[in-house]
Order: sequence, then structure tokens, then C-alpha cells
Amino acid sequence: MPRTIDTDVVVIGGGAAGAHAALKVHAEGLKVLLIVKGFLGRSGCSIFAGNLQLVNTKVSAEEEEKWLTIRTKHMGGYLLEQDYVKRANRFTESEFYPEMERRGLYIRRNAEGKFIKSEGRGTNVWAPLQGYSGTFVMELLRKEILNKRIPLLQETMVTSLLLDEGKVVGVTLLDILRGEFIAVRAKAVIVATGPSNYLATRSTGTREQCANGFAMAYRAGAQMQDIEIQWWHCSDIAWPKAWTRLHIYPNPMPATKETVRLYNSEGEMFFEQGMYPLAMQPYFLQLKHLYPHVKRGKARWNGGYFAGYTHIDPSIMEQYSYQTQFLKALGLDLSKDLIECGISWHMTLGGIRTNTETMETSLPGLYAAGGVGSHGVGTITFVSYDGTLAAGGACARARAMQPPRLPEEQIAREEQRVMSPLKVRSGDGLLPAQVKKRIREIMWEKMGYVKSEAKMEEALGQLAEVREKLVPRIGLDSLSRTWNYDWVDALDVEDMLDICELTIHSAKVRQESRGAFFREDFPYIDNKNWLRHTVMSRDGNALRIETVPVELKYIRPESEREDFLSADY
Amino acid sequence: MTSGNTVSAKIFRYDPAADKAPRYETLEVPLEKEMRVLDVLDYAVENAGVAVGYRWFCGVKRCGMCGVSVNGKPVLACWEKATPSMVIDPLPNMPVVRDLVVDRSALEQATLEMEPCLKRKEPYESFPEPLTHRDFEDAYRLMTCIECYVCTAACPVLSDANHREFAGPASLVQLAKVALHPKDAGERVAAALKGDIYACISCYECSNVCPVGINVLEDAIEKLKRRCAAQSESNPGAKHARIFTDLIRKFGRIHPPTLMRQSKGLMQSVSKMSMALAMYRKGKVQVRPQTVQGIEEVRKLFKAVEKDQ
Amino acid sequence: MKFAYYPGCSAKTTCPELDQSMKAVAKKLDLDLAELEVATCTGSRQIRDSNEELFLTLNARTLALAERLERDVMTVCATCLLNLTEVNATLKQNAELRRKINANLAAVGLEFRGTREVTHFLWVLLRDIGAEALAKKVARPLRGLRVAPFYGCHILRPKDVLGFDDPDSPTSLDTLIRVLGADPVAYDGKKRCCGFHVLMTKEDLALKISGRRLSQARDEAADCLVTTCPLCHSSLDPYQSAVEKTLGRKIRLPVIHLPQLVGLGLGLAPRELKLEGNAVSTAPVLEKMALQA
Repeated sequence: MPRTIDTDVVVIGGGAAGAHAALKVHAEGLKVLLIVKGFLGRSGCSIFAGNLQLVNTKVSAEEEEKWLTIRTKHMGGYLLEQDYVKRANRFTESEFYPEMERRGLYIRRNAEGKFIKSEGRGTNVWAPLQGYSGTFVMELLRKEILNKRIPLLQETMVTSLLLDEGKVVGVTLLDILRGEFIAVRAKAVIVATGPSNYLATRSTGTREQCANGFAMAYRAGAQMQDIEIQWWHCSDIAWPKAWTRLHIYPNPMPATKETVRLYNSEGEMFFEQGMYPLAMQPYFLQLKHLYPHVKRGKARWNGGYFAGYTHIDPSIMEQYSYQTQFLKALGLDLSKDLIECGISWHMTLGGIRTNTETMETSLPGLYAAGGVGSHGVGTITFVSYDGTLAAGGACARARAMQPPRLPEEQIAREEQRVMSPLKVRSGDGLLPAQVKKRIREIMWEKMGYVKSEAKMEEALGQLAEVREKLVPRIGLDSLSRTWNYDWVDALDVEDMLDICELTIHSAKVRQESRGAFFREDFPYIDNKNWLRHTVMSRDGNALRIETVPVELKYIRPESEREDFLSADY
Repeated sequence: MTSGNTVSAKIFRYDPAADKAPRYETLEVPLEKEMRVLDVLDYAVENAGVAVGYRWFCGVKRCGMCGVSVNGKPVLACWEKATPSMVIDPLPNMPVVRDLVVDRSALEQATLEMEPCLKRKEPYESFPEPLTHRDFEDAYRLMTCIECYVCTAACPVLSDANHREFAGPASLVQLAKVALHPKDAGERVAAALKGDIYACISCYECSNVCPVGINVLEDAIEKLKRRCAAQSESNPGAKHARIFTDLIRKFGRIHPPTLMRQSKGLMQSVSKMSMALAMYRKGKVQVRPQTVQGIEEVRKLFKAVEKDQ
Repeated sequence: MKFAYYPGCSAKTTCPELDQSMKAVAKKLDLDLAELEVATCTGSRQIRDSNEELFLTLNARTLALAERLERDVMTVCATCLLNLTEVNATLKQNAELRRKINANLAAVGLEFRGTREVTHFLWVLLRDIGAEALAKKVARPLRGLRVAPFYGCHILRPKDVLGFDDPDSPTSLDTLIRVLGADPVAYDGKKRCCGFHVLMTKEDLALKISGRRLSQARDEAADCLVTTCPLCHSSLDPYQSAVEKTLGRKIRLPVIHLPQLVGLGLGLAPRELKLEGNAVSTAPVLEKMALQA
């Protein structure tokens, strides 16, 4: 048996959901172990939260409905749990902002003390710059966790969930720095690994985000839901490659009525947020407008179209936007130059199927908080709510339970699997990072924004080829166990392949288009048949696929069938 | 050979657990438009199959984890533009874990010991607090610090003098960030002195390398030093600043022998006697302080400033 | 060319040879220097580190004195250069602060208007006189002399305030050395710190830092080192014997002020440049130039 650690609750993931969960378990007086593959508050997607929505749903029923509509319809394509959205909005206004301000969050104000907002709509705020808010939020959460000496393992990869009689009783992990395999006994596990994964050539997922959270839950038998609903960013910078994650926000800008405009290769403006006043997060609409220009050769998915601030007073960008320094470093003069953009694989709206009242998954003992769950809309305030909520449930469970038994046989099997990549590559061997790159290329080319049955079949074929021909060639240069990231990459390859295939299978099931999800062979929103979740789970080595209806408690679409490209959601 | 269209990157390779000594691996990488150092490292692994270890997460100056040294200058790999000829080393002033990956834990511990969390005197009331941008002006300048420790890597107090009592600029920025928050009431002077803030030599290397453009020395360290000077009775650095100021009040300019005697104390000054004598012979020591002409004006200004304060 | 000359405290106390050589060289270069005799210390790092308003007020006075002469300020001290430049820029930009400081200056009948610039002798040589014109005035090229340039922090950093040279690969002093016919020595320490600002409070630390610079220059077989700042000069010259004790190594490297080196190139006699006033003997340099002390 490897070394074991005992705790009450394991939290996996160092973003806002994981941080809130760890703080809450600690506050409840239980033992928590926070495990982060990268570094707490430095890796993952929470640091990318650019805008904060100053919701205030308490003021009126209209305000509550406005926010319900923005989230449920314009961001969620009516697939969200509407009661959850209401509760998360309440948390945002009554807990998130006060707690973060208490910790020292500074929301940018003017000299008179009024918040800087977008003029007119006035719901976004920034801490302290547009594009930087999540980084600041995470800094404060990180410091509080460190200051409270909450047990924390960083650069540590959770490789599997441990099961005893169908219940989750702990995790196995790989300490990347030392190369040690460890088993953790826990009464409850909260997975909070985020919704973004680096699964396509252009992606907002950070280096370490390789769908590990999805993969460990799926392998353990948890149900996955709506994993095919993949949100793409439409305006991320085209080059340099390192800056792919530099996002040009389509939302309302600070201190102005204006928003960014998109132009095709011939300089024709084809989108600005003002075209859809009610959709304050017009991500999916940007893509619908880009699509015909790509068709006509006036843009490419990875370049040849542009974002522009030329109609906005340059001092606004200078004062309020984090992105401006990057654009200036490229020598761009924002008063006249445009910014070349590409689309990128962003969040998965679906994920591990959760009960949104408790964040429980279909596996007893496993909770999913934040974007890794199936209910999310990728807002830092919402995932903070999830973390708090999941911790509440996990604590109640832990209090009612004796320390569980660890499944020794499973641990031994897992240790063998984790150690198996430790072999030196042969002459024609590949580093695992090279295989990861190939997987991302396949997803970019065949599983991009525009999907069809034929392309998805090709993608499955090419991924199968990776499994057959490339994976066996994987090897490492060194068997040293000290910070051997190639070893981590090798473990990631398995998770990426599993989840990419799962995503494609799921996408093949949904024979319609909706929100972020566009099938060229089904270019309509089918509200009659497809206000349903796809639910997938492992059945032995087979895949079980079912669909379940979505509950539409407060708002619902007006028509049964709409043309996808012209619909405003 | 380096042509205009390639990058020649000489990359530090070392696994202390397995290698006897560090070595360099040189490779040619096609130069792309506005390519960053991080792109060169990605290319090394993903295209050239060179298994170099380097840390990064975000690529856009948020995670603060991709610090390396390029041609001797500490930088963030994601921010620094690639040039045709580069030597890429791990950041100095921290132990090497593997290749370009360093162990920051000792520095992070130094930051943590500064207790960089807001400490309120009055309990927090409600959102939003009635504060203006002016209240936050000083703290605001430091808010985009991502704790990348690139400034600490550039600090000669650590690298040239190995003076490990000094917490280093990055930790002091974290301290200043919270100390300058309008609601903070923590004991920040004690923390600054514990971090040996007066070991800072005011060289601006930290400000010069900061990837997010913070003037570390002026907007963080100097602001803390001002508090120390005002609040610390006994710290030699704080005392020295006050003695210096008093001499200017008296004479308008510095009189080095008096400054030394008052600041170092008589005994220590005596130890400098042979140097002083040699300087005296060279005409470098004026036994009596010279007063600048118009010292009355200077004293009036001191009074005017003190009246404000 | 006319300047308000601000020598700084050191040139008036610990290194009079700097002030005297500057005046001798100015004459040779037809620089009309009006010395700001009533000006105070710029506060080194200590006043700015302890009292910001005092720092602004004292330096605003010096700047206002130069404004009254309608001359830009030229200094031979890098730390004074930075202090005066920053105060000048701050008060020019910030009207509210300017009003506050001017209220203080009113007590002595002065006003800061922000009409003048601050410069350093090195910049005057390269920017106002120009390398070409200066080269024509070189009467005694310093052929074969290996000079280690020592820029000093506060003439390079912070770049956005000073802006004359690139702090990562500075060239101005190297250029000047070449114009004088000598060979600049390449070494990393040329753009680094001398340690002066902790010399009084943490001498061991300061000596370790200056020791690094001196050893590097010595290792590169420099004949001498040239400084643009009397504070660097203090760390490297009078304290050199102390550095040697710390290092356990003989250095014996002559450390020459910028105007002294320029004066040699212009053909001035070593005595006119007070080269006998430097702590470490400058005789080896003069010998190499076949000059009598």
C-alpha cells in the first residue's frame, strides 16, 4: 500500500469553487484537504473571469426575470435549472460581493466613490480592471486559505476516485514535484476542476486542464450531462500563440455605451453587442454572425477577422482594461488598428450531472461544484455559490459517517496504471505532449464550432487512430520522478481521449442546434423534442446514453422550432 | 547558424535528482509573428520533442508561474518577446527543481509570514463600502501584482550578496498592497522590519523587470519605508533616515563625518578611522560642517512642511 | 551652452575632485555653468524614504532656483539626477500637488512653474554637444586604455522617468569612452548597483555588492573604472580597501569620475583634474598614458 492521508473532505481544484468549498469545510470545523493540479488561484479558469455582474434581483420581479433570462436563455439555451439560477443570483448579491469586499476586493470606483459601470445597462463591474477581476478574486481567496493554514497540496494530480460498495471514499493522487503516489481516505469528495479544458488547438483551457475531473468521475461511474454543449469564444487574439487566452470581451465596456465591434477581412463590421440589447453576454450570437463570413471566405476560424475599439475613446481602454497592455505590446494603436482574432474552445456547459440543490452527483459521496458540474454557466460568482453549497452537503455527510474502508485492490490497480507511463521512449517514440497536440488538432479540425455527423465520425476515426498508433509510441526521456511533467502529460492523454470521444458521442445524440451548440446538419432549435438533457454513463466498458426532460419552471421558449442562425439564443 | 527567420534557443537542462551537472541544449525554432519565449518552449516540447521542463498555466500574465531568465534578465516567458538568440535559464535566487522549474516555496513562505491579508480595525459593515478611487489610489498601483517573483529574482541583495534576511521585493509588494488598503489596520511596520526592508539598496532592478509594470521600489517599498521611518524608534535604517533629514535641516547639505558618527555610533565610526584619515589626507574630509548659503530659507521650508503634517 | 550647475553634496564634501574637474572640463567645453550654491541636498534616498512632502518641497526649491536663472539643471550625481527629474515630472503632471508644494515655497518667495528640464553631464556630452563634436575636441585620445564603464542605477532606472538609455543594455557611457579613444570593458556589473545606499546602515551588505562589481571589472583586465555618480564613486573608491578586506583579494582599481576621464581626453593636465584626489592611486592610468601626475 502506498502512503495514505486521512481527512474528512477532499476538494479537488484550486479555482473559485474549490476555494469556497475548502473555506466552508474549514469553517464548519471539519478536516479538509485541498488538492490542486496547478497552483491554488493561479491555474484553472477562475483567474480569467473578466467581468463581474452586479446583480440585484431583490429590487424587483422584473430585475429577477431579466437575470433569469440572461442566464437561462442567452447563456444556457434553456438547459439550466431555473431555481438554481435564482438562488445563485441571490448568493452573488448577498454573500459573494460582501465577503469579497470584506477580504479586500476593490471594485473600480470613480473619485466620488461610484462604481465604474458600462453606461446605460450598468450591470458589469470590474475589480479593478476589465479582464482582471477573477485574478484578483482568486488572489484574495488564496491568501485567506494560506493564512488559515488549510491543508493544501499543489502541483498534485488526482488520478482517480476510490470506491467502496459504490460510494466514493477517497482519491489517489500523484505528487508531481516528488513523483509520489498517495491514497487519500475521505468521507466525501468535492470535484471542482472547472469547465474549461485544453482540448482543441485554440482553447481557453490552461495547460493543466485536460478534462481530468470529467474523466475520473466518468470512470468511477458518475452520470455526465449535456457534455456536448461546448461554448466557443469568438474573439480571442489570433497571435502570438501564447496569448490565445487573451479575450476581447463582447460584453458592455466600462464607462461607455459602446462595445467591441467585429469586422471581416474586408473591413465590414458584422457584430456588436448593441444588435441584441437583451443578450448582455452575446457570445453565441457573435459566432452565428461570424459563420457566414467564414463560409464566404471573408474570415477563418483562426484569423482573418478582427475586433476593433476604434469607435471608443482610447483613454477608456487605457484606464479600465487589462488587455490594453498586450495590444500595445503588439504595437497596435487602438484608435485606428484592429485586432486579429480567432475562436477558441471555451467552457463545456454540461459536465458531471448534479443535483443543483445539493451539488450531489449520481455517486454517493461525490459532489461536483462549479463548471465541472452540468448546471453551470461559468460565472465566478455562481461557482463560488456551488463550492459553498457542495461543502454544506459534504460536511453533513462526513459528520454522519465513520471513516470508510479503503479499497486496497483498486489502489494497487491504480498505482500500476499511474506508474505505467514510466518507460523510456524508443527511437520513433513520441513525447506525450506531442500526442496531446495531435488530439487537439483533431478536435479543432473536426469538432469545431460547426459540427456534422460526417465530421464527427471522422473525428472518432482519427481519435481511434491516435489510440492505436500513437499512444503505443509514447515514452519519456527520463524516468526521474522529480517534476517529470511528461509523466503527467502521459496520464492526461488517456483522460483527453476518453472525454473527447464522450463529447463526440454525446454530440451525435443531440440532433438539433442550441445556444453554443451548432450542428450544420440540424440547423434549427428543436424545442419540441430537444428541451432535454443528454445523460451518459459507463456501463461496464459500454456507454449508456439516455435523455431526460429539462424542467422549465419560470420561463420557456415561445416557439417549438426556430431557425438556429437567426434566433437570439 | 541563426538566420533572421529562426530563433536559436540555448536552454538550461538539469535534473538534480539524476544529473551530475547542468548542461545546455540548443535548438533552432522557426520565428513566428510576435512569438513569445513561451511559444519557443512549447515548440521545443510539442514539435521538436525536446523534453524540457518549464512551468506555465495561462500564457497571459495571470498565473505568474512562467518566470525564466532570458539572456540574464528575469522575465515572464509568456510576456517576453522571443529574439533570434536567447539563452534561457531558470530564475535566479531560488533552487532549481528541474530544467527551468524553480522551487518558490521559501519565498512564498516569506510572503505568508508578512500576513498579507486585510486586517480591519472595525468590522466590515455592508456592500458597498463608502470609499472612493482616491482612497485606493496607492493600493491600486499594486493590485495587478501577480506574485511572479520576477522582481525577487532580479534583486542583487539576494543574488549578489546572498542576504537571505531580506524578504525580497515581491513579498514587500504583497505587504504594501494590503498595508495601503484604506481599511487596513495590521501591524505592517513590524512585518516590514522583520523582512529587513532596510536591506533594500534602492537599485530599481525590481521596478525594471516587473512584467506588469509596477514601480516596485517607489510604489511599494518606499511607501513602507516611509511608515517605518515615522514609526520605528530603534531600527537603524529608520533612524538613519531621520538623522539624515535633521542634518539637512541644520546645514542644508550632508556632512558625512557627522552623519556617520550619529548613525553608526561613536564606536563603529572609530573603526573607520584609518579610512577617514586617508580621506582626510586627500582633502576629502571637512572637519566642520559647511552650511549652505540661505539656510534660513531651508529652515522655513522645513517649518512649512511640518505645519502641513 | 548654459546650465544651472547642481554639484550635489558629495562633490562638495567627500569628492571635491569631482567638482573641480567638472569646472575645469566645463571651461574647456565652453559650458557656462551657474552653480546653484544655495541649493540643498536632494535628500539622497533618505528624505524621500521618510518624508515625501519635504522631498518634493526641497527639490522644488532647487528647480525653482534654476527656473529663476532660466536655465536647465545639470548635475554630476545620478541620484540627484533622478530625484530632481522625478520631482520635476511629478509636479509638472500633478496640478493639485504643485499647488500644495508652491504654498510651501511661497514662504521663501519662490514658485515652481515647471519650465525647465534636468540633465546629467553625461547626457549633455552626448545629446547637447554630441559625440561627433566632442570627438573633434579630443586632444589626447586615450588609446589602449581599458575603461570599465559604471553607469549607476539612478541614471538608468526607472526607464520611464529617465528614458535616456536602455537599462538592460546601456550604451551611452560606452560610446563616450570610445569617443575619448579608450576601450570600454564589457562586464555585467556595469549596469548594476554599487550598494551605496546601505553603506551607512549595512556596510557588510554594501561591500559585498560593490565587491562584485570591482571583482568583475578587475577580472576583465580593466585599467580603471569610470563613474557618473559620486555615490557609486564612494562605494568603489574610498571604500575599496574595505571591499578588499571583505573579498580577501587585492583589487587596486583606479576609479575615475566622468569629468576626470573626459578631461584627460581633452588634454587637461592631471593636476587640473585633481586625479591625485582619488583614494585609490590613479598613477597606473597616468603611467599607461605616459603622463606625469
